[in-house]
Amino acid sequence: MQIGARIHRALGYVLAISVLTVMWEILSLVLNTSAIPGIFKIWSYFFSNLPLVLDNAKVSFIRVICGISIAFVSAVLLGLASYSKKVDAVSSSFLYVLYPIPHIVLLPLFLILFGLGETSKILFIAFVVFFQIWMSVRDGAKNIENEYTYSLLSLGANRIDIYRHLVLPYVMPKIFTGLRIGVGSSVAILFFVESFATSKGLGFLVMDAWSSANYPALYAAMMAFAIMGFSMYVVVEILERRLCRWLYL
Amino acid sequence: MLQAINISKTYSDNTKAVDGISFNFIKGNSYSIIGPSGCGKSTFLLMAAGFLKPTSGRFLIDGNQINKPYDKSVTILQNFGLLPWYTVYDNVALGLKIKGFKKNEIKLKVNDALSMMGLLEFKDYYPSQLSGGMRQKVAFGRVFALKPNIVFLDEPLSSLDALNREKMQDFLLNLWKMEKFMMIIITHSIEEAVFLGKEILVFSNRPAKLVKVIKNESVGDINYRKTSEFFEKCKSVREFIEL
Repeated sequence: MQIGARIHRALGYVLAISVLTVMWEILSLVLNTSAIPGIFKIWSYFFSNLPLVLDNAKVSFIRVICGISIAFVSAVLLGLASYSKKVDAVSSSFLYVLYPIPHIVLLPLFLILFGLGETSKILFIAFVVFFQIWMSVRDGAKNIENEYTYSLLSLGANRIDIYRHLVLPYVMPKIFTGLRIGVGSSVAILFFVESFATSKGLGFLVMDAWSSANYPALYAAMMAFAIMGFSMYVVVEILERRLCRWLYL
Repeated sequence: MLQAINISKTYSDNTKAVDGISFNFIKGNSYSIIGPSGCGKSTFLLMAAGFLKPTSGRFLIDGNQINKPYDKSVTILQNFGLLPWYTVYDNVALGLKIKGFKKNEIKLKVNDALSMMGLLEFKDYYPSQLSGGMRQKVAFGRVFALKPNIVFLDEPLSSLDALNREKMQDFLLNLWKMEKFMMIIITHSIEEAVFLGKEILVFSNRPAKLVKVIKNESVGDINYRKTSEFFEKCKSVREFIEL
């Protein structure tokens, strides 16, 4: 039955992709402009220039993974600490002040502090994603019912046991919620930071192809973006099903 | 022996929940605590179990004051004993794991507890896949595996329907007779209090005071429910409860 469900889901993905492809093809035929090339032109560009695309995708992927990892570790640790009411009282005031700011406008600050190289790009991605994961994990950790804590204490649990057996598994689904949102926005931020002061990465490919009106290259680079975002999303989903098995029975 | 000495509790918002309760709970005996809902009986239990501190008075176990949950006790609360992310096996094993037992020792004790509870074939199930009664059995399985001296229960059966509830009362009674722990159970069902408590403590409306202690020596007989003595006892308990 589980395998059946999986096949079902995969078929759903295939169907969605096919529908979107057909819609693109119709758009291309109707508008009849070189700026919206047919899907086969894009694919043939994508596959005949695969080494170039992969090369840039690799650079982008490393940036985004480093950024997410830094955000993930720091946000999860900080969020988990909100299980303690005292810690939460302090950290939540920072969260409330910092969360509503449109983080993306702080990019110049990162460039000033960390220069134009890789560091500022990675840290900026980390910075934006950090808040999304932090918010989600913190909300989970602070709402754990006392009764759970009592039953663990009655079994002789100390603080470490409580984090291991209660707090961490309790917030695990929240971690994944944050991560899923974070993955989506990290790819968007990636495009933003790669659209200037770099000569590598998928964002650069997009900007470069666009400015030289090389449309098949432009959409091939966009497609690479989409594939990267989608694969990361799928990995998160698989991890969640593994680690939160009790939610998928 | 667990002694409650002049226990009072006032919460930080100035509601007084418990007012000057003193009582000696004897080893191996069973006690029902009954009173109107919201009267402060849960607060009393949480203090006895070491989760809350009394505002005044103290609890002693064998002469030593309780400041944290006593390590030879287990507390079962209304709905929250089981962790949804652990299987039946892991839930029963949790206490042993925390107390640092070795892996194969845990396996032995847990399998023993599970087969005794009739849960062995469900050991890889998650709590959400079980019925209310079975979940309750898993919580009791935890007690059985840990072999505590004292078991505190806060309305453990209140989420079950009437028939299952009687079945689980029988089950709990047998567990108590077999394991010989001291059992303190909070309930708002008069029949449950009479069926399970060798002594029945009747609490008043908030703030809870100890109104009456009713001796109930026939507890332990599975057929007690069908006797006229049982009905008489229920009637006399009812007289002392302010509704």
